[in-house]
Amino acid sequence: MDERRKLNDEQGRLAALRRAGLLDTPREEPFDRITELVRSVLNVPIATVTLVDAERLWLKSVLGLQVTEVPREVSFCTHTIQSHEALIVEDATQDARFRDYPYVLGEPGVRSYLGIPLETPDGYNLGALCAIDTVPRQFSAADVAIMTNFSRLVMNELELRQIAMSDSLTGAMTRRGWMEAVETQIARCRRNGQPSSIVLLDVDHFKRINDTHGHPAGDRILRAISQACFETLREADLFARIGGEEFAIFLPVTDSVEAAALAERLRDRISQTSFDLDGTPVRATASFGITEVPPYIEGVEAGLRLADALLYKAKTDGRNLCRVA
Amino acid sequence: MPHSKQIKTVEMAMKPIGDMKVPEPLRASVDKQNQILLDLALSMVNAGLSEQQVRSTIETACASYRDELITTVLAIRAQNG
Repeated sequence: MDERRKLNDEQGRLAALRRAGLLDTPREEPFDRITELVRSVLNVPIATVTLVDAERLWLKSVLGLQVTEVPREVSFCTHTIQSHEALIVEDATQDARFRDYPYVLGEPGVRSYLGIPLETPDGYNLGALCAIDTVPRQFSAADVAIMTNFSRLVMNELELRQIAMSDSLTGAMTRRGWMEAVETQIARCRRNGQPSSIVLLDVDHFKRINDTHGHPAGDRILRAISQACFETLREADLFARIGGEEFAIFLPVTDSVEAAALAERLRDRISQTSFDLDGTPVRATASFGITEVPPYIEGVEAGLRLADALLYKAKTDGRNLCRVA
Repeated sequence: MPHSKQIKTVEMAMKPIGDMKVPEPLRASVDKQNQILLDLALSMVNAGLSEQQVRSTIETACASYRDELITTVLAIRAQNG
């Protein structure tokens, strides 16, 4: 997809934002240090690391303002993420796009703004690094260069987190990263009155595959199954390797019927695949436990336990099966 | 502040990271961080900021990255058993 199309791919952008796992998380020192540097180097009273969600801005780090959320329709950053370039506003009261915004008309009286898109390596703008002043101001090319480098620091730290949250064998999320991201997503679906589901997948007789063909062969099967999952899942779904041969999938805005249909497609695909292990064709199957996240449970662990009980049932019922509640 | 001074400033700030045993998957990130810090130092010099401010900014930015890097190294080690 070219860069221009990525700017218009809001669903892909939001999925990248969810994968980053930062929405609704508390303030953290690494980001606060960068906003502090922005404030001191550019000599502005307000600096933010802002993430642009579907309907709101989530301020991951904010100095000089007492808010953590701003409605998206009255935000400067919504404009910043429409481009891969800096957005400069010298005097918001003279700019028809911004002069009626509450933060311009009232407190803190925003007058000037410099925003740099926070762009992922694959071209999605997750949000913006912002320097904001309460007096009209001309930001120079040198200011833009400094801010651009600060924004690269933010993204490099984020990418480091993505590495920590990725399983090195399969590229899926790690258990820890997945748990943190799913916790946030369950809360989000509940706020919006939407269902969500968890699917657990365990490769059948994996020990036998390892014992017969060796661990490198087992690793190749895990990679191939992960690839099948990546190709089947939507961008907003969260996929993790949570144990040796066990994977978890979180499906937002998905009820148990839809989740079961997806799991059945995956089960069928895996069982139909012939894995070529150095010239020897090998078949592998997987069992699935599927549950819609019930409204009464608290925490991802409880949802995982429900899915795990169903996975156990799929195993005891004969394997290569889906079991759903 | 000549260019060699900025390189020195970045090298000094990154030294604790250079001394760490960084796993292969993180090498590219460390190299990228080096380059960004050097670009940042240059951009600050071009903006007319003092040597002291450049130095302290680079050190702060580097300390922040170092903390994140250590967390990531530990996470990767835990993953690999």
